[in-house]
Amino acid sequence: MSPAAKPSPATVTQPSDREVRTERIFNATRERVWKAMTDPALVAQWWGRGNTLVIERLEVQRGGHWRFVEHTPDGQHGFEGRFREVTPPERMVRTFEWDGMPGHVIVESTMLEDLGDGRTKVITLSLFHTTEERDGMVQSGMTEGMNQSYVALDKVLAAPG
Amino acid sequence: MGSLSEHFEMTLTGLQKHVRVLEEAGLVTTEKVGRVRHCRLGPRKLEDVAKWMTAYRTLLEQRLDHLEDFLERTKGTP
Repeated sequence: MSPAAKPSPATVTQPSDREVRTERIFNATRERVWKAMTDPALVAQWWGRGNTLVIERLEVQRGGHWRFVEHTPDGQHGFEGRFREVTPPERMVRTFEWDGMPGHVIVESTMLEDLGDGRTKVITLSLFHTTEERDGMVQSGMTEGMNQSYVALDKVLAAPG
Repeated sequence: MGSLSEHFEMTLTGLQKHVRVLEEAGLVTTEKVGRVRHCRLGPRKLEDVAKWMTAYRTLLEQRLDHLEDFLERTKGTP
């Protein structure tokens, strides 16, 4: 689908040097969007961006663990975290960590807003580590590992999807 | 800095010039302790986090695109 043909406008902003915010409207009810995000059989069909996705865990409840492994042509990439807040079908907060960058935790909040006409606005707010935390990590010699990770990540991003 | 100038086989003055440029670019920071000036990696590490944020953002956008396609293709299901 070309960007012009997309049924909804998508906006991505960076409200601060450690936040990414996206806003998007989907032509689906809030219940359907929630289900697509929380039912393992459905998540497996889109979260991998066209790559095979293995859902190792998806415990959608406060404190629950999630772990997905994306199989790209160059290898496997694991992503995981824990749910901090789950309020169906309107809100979830979870941590997000990529195996390639251990310790770099992102707190991802997802808000589903019922637009009342069968559409749903989805807002995600991703908060990256505080300066203090990330500085501590870099000083402990993570830079080298990170550069290797970026090479791997570039491959993931270039994978078909 | 003395040990650095030996390592790179440079004069101390020459090395100081290089370090000053690196310091201005934020690649190193220096600190004078007595007669010795210590160098360490500077705030360029911020770029690493910026890089990670950009990559993460791409992943997130690609996922949302695929979610959208998925919802379109499964239209009519509960």
